[in-house]
Amino acid sequence: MMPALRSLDRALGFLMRTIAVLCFLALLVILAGNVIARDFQLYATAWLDEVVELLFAWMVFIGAAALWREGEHFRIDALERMLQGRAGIAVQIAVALISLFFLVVMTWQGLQLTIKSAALTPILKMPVWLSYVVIPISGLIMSTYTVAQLIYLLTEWSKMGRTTT
Amino acid sequence: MLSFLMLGALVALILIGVPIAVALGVTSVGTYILLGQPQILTMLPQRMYSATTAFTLLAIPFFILAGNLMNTGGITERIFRFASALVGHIKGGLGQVNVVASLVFSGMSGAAVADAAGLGQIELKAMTERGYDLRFSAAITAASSTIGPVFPPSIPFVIYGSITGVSVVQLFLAGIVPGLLMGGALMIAVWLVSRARGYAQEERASRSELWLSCKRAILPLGTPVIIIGGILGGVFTPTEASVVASIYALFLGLVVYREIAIRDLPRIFWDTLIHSIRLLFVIAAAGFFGWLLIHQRVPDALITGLTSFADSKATALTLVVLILLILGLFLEGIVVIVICVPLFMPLVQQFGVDPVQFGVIMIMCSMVGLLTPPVGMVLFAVSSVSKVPVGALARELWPYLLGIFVVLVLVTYVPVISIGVPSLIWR
Repeated sequence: MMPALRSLDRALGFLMRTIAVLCFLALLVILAGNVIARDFQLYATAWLDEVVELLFAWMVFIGAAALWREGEHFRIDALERMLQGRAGIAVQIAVALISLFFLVVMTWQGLQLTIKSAALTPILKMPVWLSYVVIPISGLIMSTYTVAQLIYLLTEWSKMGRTTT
Repeated sequence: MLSFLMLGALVALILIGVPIAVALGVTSVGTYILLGQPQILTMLPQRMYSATTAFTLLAIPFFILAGNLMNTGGITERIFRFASALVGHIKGGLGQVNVVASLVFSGMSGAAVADAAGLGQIELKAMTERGYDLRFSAAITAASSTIGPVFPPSIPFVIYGSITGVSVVQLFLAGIVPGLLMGGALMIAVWLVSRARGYAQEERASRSELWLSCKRAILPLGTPVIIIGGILGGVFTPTEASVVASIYALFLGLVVYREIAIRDLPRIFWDTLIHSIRLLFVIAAAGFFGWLLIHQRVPDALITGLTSFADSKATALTLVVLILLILGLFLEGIVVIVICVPLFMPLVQQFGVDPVQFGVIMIMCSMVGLLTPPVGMVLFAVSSVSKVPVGALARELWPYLLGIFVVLVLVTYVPVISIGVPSLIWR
């Protein structure tokens, strides 16, 4: 069970990085092409904005989930480094619970937004939910990793209880 | 009362170690639940989405990419050599070079922490090899990296522009003189410190050495010209300028100098995304938080509160700058910007402060915050690169902080320093 989960985790990490980097690369090519096309008046590019927004949203939210997995988001960890043993773990559990609360709200509300949006983009007639759906996907991945983190912290907590008492 | 509770909760959450984006989100969600208005939470994903997908903000990853490519592609090192030939003979030697190299580099990149971590490493290595005191080198590396976000192009200006709707082009132009003044102030500080401690200088570069280093750096030196010229000439927007800068750096690194291999690119791209998405996710969460502040009329309460203390533009600005500096002690620079812009913008406009000038003031305050403990990202970055402890580095920094502070005071009370250049061009 555990090795299977571990390789799933690694595969997901790789997939998320790849999606984010590919979106970034596509944005680089499209925007550079757009500058050239406009200045040499090659083709009209009004539809580009819609594609750019879609790629940007996927890059940010999938990237945010990848960063969540790797613990790379901005945070101040001075307190938990100062506290040792169970106190430190307790703070980390509190942080994980608070994060989980926000992520669940974000996932749920993002899902509602995705389900309710029936609109199409004006030029390409793309459904707008294609962009919005990345919010609940990202939220769900981050929530799952937070739950895993909580399970880990709780086992650490109980292990420490046994050694100190 | 509610405003104090909200801001207090936010700071407390950040201090116990909740990721900053989550702290902003939880504070907003919690406020609406406490107010008994959970139906407003439907706005959360919409605000997060629209705050983070603004076209202007796309400049963030591309300016960071340009900086990363220049650091990997040997461009940073050429700039350092050129600066060395230019000002190495002034008292303080490579300390002066450090300031000038950062100023030149800031014309190409737009992030202080990236500057500290990339160019900073080269600066530190060169200074250590030449036997400079490590604390002196680390302090000047940290201080000079804060020129980057003030001198155009600049990521914090892009963020400020995207929140307020103020023209990013005008903000870029407004940062030119303050950025140069910061460079000047730091050079004076290096000179004074070096004189007091009897530091030497480097030998003056001969004409041919200067010419050679200039020739080696001429292509990278074209980047700021392309960026600023292109934006002013209407050839491209600031976001497109960031893309052009990236393509140009990629071209120099891959084709001209051949110091970047194709196989390095995935790593460079991902490294760029780590730094960009950290910022963008905070901006996303702050999108909802800022909306909450306005929805709950917090800025109005603040105006009523502060106008009872402050009766003139100068006193109001003084108060705002003090608050920004105090917040900067405890919060990350960009966080101060995303929280305080919606909060203070109505206030300063009430007193007739130009929003462009206020942008420069705000970004300079957050730069001071990057250098001051307990939370200073540049301080941390340089301390970890140089192995100088944070406390020792902070003590060594004060002459340079004083220099930056003098420029901040000038920018705050003499509007022409910031808005002079943009108003010259948009007459």
